[in-house]
Amino acid sequence: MNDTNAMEKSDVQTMPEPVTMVPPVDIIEGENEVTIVFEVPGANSKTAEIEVLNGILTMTAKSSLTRDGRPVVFKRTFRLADDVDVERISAKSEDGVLTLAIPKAARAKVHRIKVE
Amino acid sequence: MNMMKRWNVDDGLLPAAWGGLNGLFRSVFDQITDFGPEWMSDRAGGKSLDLKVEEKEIIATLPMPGCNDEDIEVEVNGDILSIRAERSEEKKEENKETHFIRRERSTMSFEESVRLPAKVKAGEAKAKYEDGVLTVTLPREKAAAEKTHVVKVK
Repeated sequence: MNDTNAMEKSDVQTMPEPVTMVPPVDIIEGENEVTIVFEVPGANSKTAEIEVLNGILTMTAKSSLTRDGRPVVFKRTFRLADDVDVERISAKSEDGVLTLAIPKAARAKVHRIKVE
Repeated sequence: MNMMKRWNVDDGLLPAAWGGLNGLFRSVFDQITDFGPEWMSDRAGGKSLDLKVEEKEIIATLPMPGCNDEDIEVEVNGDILSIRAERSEEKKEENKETHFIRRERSTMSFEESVRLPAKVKAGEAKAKYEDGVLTVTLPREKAAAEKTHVVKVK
């Protein structure tokens, strides 16, 4: 019994290596936030991951697509400026499009001063 | 359709996004992703239709992120499979206030057609749209699969 289990496990490990692809993005600047839109067909909220570490934002998303028999993984990295509020980043995913809202920190917001 | 072609369509937006003239882009984001050859030659996942021919069916897969189920048209005409879709975002992005720091995603509609390598029962075809990927399953006509003639060499 143990032997068969071990064999099954090794079978899983010999799955073809994933292909990493860079998804196209739109980056849109609004008054209070910056929105990044990733195009990640075949991925959803369960397979996508956003990580921010030392000001580096990494998006990784496993896709159901394959390429030459290898699973596709989307990955893209950005360096964030200090002027963004990392704590309040939010993400949503719909129809293979992942949208990330990155709020600007208060000091980065435009202050309009009226000339009198 | 490749990436370069799509960009040309949006020509007017390119210089600001690409040439680094945009100070805002630099201050907020400093992109450190490597642009590998894979990215340049093929839009990630945006490549054309993928056909898998199996014994009983043909499975067509087309990545088309950001569409609505209702806006997708799948048509089988003889042995030609055609897929058309409008981008749902196209309409709502008319807002002139939208300031693009970077614009790589295409806003064009999808249109792909392909000649099927085997006869299919078009009436029994099924299509599914999930996570931005359209999958069309076309059952093959039995006759075609059975009609293998063995020709003897004399």
